[in-house]
Amino acid sequence: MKRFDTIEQYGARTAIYTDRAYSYDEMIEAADAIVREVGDRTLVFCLCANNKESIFGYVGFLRGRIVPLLLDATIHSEQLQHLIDRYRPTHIWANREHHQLEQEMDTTYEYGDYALFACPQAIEHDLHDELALLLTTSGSTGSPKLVRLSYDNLFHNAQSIVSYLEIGENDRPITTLPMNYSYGLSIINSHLVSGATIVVTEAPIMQKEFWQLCRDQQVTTFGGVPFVYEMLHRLKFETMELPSLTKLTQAGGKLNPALAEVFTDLCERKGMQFFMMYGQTEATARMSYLPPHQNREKAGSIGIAIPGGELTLRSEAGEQISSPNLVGELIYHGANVSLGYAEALPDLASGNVNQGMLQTGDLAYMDEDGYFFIVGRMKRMIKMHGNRISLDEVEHLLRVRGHECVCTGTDDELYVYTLQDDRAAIKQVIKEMMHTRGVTILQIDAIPRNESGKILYSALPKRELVTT
Amino acid sequence: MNKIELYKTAFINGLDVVADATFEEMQLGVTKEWDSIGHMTLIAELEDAFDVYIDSEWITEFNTYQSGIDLLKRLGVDFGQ
Repeated sequence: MKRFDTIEQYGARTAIYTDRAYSYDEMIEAADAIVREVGDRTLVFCLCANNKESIFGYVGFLRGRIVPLLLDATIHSEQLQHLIDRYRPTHIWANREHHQLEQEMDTTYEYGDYALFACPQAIEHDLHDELALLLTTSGSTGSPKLVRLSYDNLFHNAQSIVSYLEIGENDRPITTLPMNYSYGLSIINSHLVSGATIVVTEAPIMQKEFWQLCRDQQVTTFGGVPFVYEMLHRLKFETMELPSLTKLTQAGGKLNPALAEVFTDLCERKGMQFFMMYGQTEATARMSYLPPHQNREKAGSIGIAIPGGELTLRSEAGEQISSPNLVGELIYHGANVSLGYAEALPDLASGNVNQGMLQTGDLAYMDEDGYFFIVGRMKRMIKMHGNRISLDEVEHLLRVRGHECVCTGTDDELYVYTLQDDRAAIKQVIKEMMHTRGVTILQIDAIPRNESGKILYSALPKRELVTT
Repeated sequence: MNKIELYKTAFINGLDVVADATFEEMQLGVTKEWDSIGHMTLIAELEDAFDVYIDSEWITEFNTYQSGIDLLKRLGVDFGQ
């Protein structure tokens, strides 16, 4: 299995292109220098953006057996402090001008725009031997619940992705997703172990520079969550001349059927492959994909398990479902299933709780040909622009700020219900803490409940009731 | 409402910013509210407010408060002066 400790073999090849080309040799040198400053195996935070510093730091931490928690560089200061207090990292790798860290901590090393901040009152961490990396479970509610990933998890998943996407050293992906997001990270991992060149940019896809870079750097592939595809459609992607592009991937939630058809057609016309895929952070990233030649016939399907993985269905009674067209919980087995969660410091010493088996919480059925279709979700989770959000966590986030609310919703549509006249204040909290859109806040007279007091989420109104 | 007010209202609605924000300094990717998602909402607001169609070339060129005004002028919107 290819890991980051074998990427020396790519030597003078270009690892990343950003302001200029950086070879694998140069990346490794920079990455290992950062880690030498950190020292022995310990816990660090890495504040990620799509820049060379974040990637080099990440590569170095994995090579040097330092465990990083990857966070978005724009994380709200209150949430960052909360995580620091809870997990007590010894160092934070972040922009050297980070206003919050700059005031409180000294830096011990600098590379590019980043610096290594040394945390005061560092503790000695008890880290499980297999633990490689921590990712957050929810992009934006700031939940301290983390997914514990092992070295085997990361590189098994990368290897599997390399095999079904046929990634080679001539591939040139461009960044379209945050690297602290499991899908974005899987693109980086699978391409670095292949000796490919990653074009790294902060420019979003609706900026001219992004497309200029795609052309100039002969980009061959990129990935996107459903929202990215909505924007591509709006940008009239079909009219763009991008001859180097050969492969598009999609994950992070179900693409709406009309859009899936549009991209299936246009990719076919342009001679590109279009991969629709399914996964969760709890499985490192990827669990299934739809082989592109089935995009039409198996429209709406999450496809088949990735190489090395297995998908099965389990009935409510806990029995395996083997007949087609029966709905049950989707279960995944594979070497990429995370070790487990961490909710507090002692959890970082825990071993492999999941034992290679993940209950996805998604409800699905399998057709006669063995293709899986998701029909619903067991947990109160929605995806907002590709980021998973727990409705209970949103309720909690509002409750601790004095707003007693009930939340419901579907993907990209979050509804918040309040009994008080505090909609403006709620809106402000959501905007500051979650930085999200597509939120409707409604004031209602009473929360509908059943006889045993359980909230009837389905009975909540989806629009303003006219009060007379 | 004059054209500048109409333009600012599109920002208030599209980006969910306060009415007394410093609009003139706003930049895509720099102003917190003006992210990818905000950009698309803002484009839709501008199209509605000025009854224009903004094509992809212009969507990718529009990245500051001022560049949006220039864009709308090219689309035939008369801001006066």
